[in-house]
Amino acid sequence: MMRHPRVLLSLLPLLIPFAAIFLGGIIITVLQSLGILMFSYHYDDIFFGYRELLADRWFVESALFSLYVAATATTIAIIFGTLFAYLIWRLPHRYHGRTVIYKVPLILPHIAVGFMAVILLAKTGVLAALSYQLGLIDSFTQFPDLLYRASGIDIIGAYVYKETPFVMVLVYAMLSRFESRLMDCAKMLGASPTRIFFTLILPFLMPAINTSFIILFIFSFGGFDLPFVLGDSYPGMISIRIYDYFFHKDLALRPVAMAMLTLIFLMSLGFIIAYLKIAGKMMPAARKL
Amino acid sequence: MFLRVASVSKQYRGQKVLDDISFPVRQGELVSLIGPSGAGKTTLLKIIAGLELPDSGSVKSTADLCANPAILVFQDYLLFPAMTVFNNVAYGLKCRGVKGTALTEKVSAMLAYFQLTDKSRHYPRQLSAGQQQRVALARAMVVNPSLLLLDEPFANLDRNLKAETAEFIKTFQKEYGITAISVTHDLQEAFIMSDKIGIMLDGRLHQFDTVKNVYNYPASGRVAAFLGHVNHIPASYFPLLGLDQHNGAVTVRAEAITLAHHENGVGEITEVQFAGHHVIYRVRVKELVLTVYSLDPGFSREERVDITITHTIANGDH
Repeated sequence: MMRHPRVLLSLLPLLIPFAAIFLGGIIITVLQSLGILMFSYHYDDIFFGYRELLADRWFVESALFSLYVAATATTIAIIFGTLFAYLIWRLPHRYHGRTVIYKVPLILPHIAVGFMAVILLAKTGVLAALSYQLGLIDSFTQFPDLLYRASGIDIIGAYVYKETPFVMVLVYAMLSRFESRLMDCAKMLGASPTRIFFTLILPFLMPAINTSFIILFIFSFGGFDLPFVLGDSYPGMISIRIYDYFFHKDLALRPVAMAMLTLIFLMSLGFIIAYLKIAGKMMPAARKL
Repeated sequence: MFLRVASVSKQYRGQKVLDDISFPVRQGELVSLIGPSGAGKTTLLKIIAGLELPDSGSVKSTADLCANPAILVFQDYLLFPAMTVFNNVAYGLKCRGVKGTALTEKVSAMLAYFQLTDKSRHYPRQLSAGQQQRVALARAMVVNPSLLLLDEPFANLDRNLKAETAEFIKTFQKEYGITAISVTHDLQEAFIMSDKIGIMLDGRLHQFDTVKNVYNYPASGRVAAFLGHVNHIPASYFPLLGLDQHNGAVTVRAEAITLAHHENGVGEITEVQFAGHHVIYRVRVKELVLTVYSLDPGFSREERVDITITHTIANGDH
């Protein structure tokens, strides 16, 4: 019994910032979404923020668009990252060091990737100029619209570029702990390389894949900088709408921004629970995280 | 001849791991290669399994290894951790396109034979070492391999389970009529289950023969010493110990000497060690010290004893 208070005491340096910043932040956000702790204004209706939010016809579209962008970008990054990490792992060991170049996008800030995309892909960008010089297009206007698309392809592309190396790092680290004799064993039993990948390697990688999926999905779901630089105005990612409500609109509408924040937190939480349940059902024996 | 290993050699980083290994294996035989750790046994097994290539030499078989492959059961079993016992055993069949009822029937029969029916839904981490080994054997046997290769089958088992497992392996090997090669450093278990034994020391096969011949007629002093403690008796002691006249010396196992109480006996007990199921005595005869394993704990230090040698194993080449 005496050990518990001691353990609690030793964890305090971690618990205090966690409680103050994370839980405190959530509590204040929820309270402000209900019009509480809004010192300049008084709201008779505590659900004012939520009613306004539901009346905003773009909100649902923004939320769905964010969900689509995050899910698509993360899924593609997971597939690419896992496959690339696997291919590197299968290379003779002496080549592994040379593949370090794949980590470059990791050190680039998201905003830098955003501007790189603009410089490269805009109608007046590097690729357009190159295509013109090579005679592939007759004028810059013929270069396809790749940026500010309602399909979000530019944001998805930038997220995939940024997130793929992250997946590769986690998956490769996991692969380096894989018992490669299991592959010998499966091969002796007659398994093809594809079967070995799907029946042995993928279940082993699931903790890394699940962890990266959750981290990257939530990050891109609520991400601000890439949608801000590359995104179309409407419906726009939900983070942009929150930013607008918080800074650009009437101060009295701040509970709406807080209600949106509360909802994306709940959606993220719901997503993690749903994802882990589905992942658990698909591969019951694989460790989840 | 079912399988012939011919002049196989292998080096790692300039160091010879296998040096000109040759031996034949008949259909349905169980052969054990015995040697200390680092003798190159597992490398040889991997070469026979096709997982590694020899630097020189060859492994030839009359079996169709494509239709019925050689399967190696690893020392640590290497069960697929994310699969149940059933799916582990079913793996090789699924790779061959077996499905539905045929799959279930074959796997269930194998699980029943290896006494694993009640464990079919368990995962490898939920099994004991002995159960894991049986899953690995069932997983190998279900694909009807032409050759079963066992890498240290007793290494991860409790002592009391080793002999039982050796008997079990021998039983199922004979019942299925499968040819098997095992590598191990567990002498007793190898003796129990094997038809033939090869003694590997420092990457070389020093002797390959039936179990009894290897034990009773070791090819060299090193082989004899590896199989158990031996005493080297010079010819000058033969009259004292009641041995027929020989040239040179004889080698005598510690358990091939019997002692008898006698106050004017030729030997004197100098040391007594209790070793569980036998007692180790050191007996001095003039300048010679003999080691004797006896079931009789009734001798004590400084006691004089008569010595009878029941069996000699070789003329000394040591």
